[in-house]
Amino acid sequence: MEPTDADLVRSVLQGHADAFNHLVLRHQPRLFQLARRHLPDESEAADLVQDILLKAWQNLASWRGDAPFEHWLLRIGVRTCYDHLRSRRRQREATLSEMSDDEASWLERHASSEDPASHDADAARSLVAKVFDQLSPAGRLVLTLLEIEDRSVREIADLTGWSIPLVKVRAFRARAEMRRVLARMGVQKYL
Amino acid sequence: MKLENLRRHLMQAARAMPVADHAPVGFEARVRMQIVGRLPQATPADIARAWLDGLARAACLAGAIAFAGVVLHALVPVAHHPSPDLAHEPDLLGQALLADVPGLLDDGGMEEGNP
Repeated sequence: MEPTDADLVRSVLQGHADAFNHLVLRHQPRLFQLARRHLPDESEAADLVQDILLKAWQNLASWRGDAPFEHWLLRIGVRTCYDHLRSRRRQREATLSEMSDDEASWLERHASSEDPASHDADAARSLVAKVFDQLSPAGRLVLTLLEIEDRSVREIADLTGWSIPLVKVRAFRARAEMRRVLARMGVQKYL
Repeated sequence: MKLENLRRHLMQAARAMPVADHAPVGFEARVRMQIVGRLPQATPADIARAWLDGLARAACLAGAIAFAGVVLHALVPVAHHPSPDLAHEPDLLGQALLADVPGLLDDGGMEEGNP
């Protein structure tokens, strides 16, 4: 029988570091999904997952077992991701880059079609990444969790440690911020 | 309104995008390298628990030693050798006092340069 997460954590805390490898193998797909949603850059996402796992390792004793281990790990993941987005924002100046031809044609199709999602996914992906790069870290995080990962406000509050009203306020501001960024990118001419 | 529609469509497109969940090659080994030599940190509650455990163990040990002492004292017979009443035996008292002073009772026999 497969050992449970609780068994593996207990084993690690008793000094069997190898048991942590099982935890890594079991949960890393979910962590990579989370990291890639927030950071499209592959190596940045891998660094982030490594940071998350390292934090989990160091704080393993604080997992009380009253919530599923994956949930505890995701909470560390979301908070680490938020810290990463904040430090990245501090390090580099947000510059608005030009739209590529593919992105422009995606927008043109959006203007003519009812279902732009079915068209060139890569163009949409890069356009979203470009817009998200302009958002504040909190706005980017809350929109990803709320509108891309389809999580509830309560879940986001639990994952981020923010209050429910704060999540709602940040989501509202983030939508407005995203509209402003789109306007600055000059998308109106396609609408 | 048009901007909000575009925004929603963009988010819809982003939601529809599949996200890979695989780890890069050698990722597990990389994580293993990172945790080698680092120990999971104990929480304050764990530290307090360990401290209390230590305290309880020390108290148990002290109790056990004291108990063993009492038992030994009760079990081991103490030899009672009646000592002579020196107050009423002046000769014995004198001998005992003189015996405490080395060399006082012997009658010389010392050679020069040979203590």
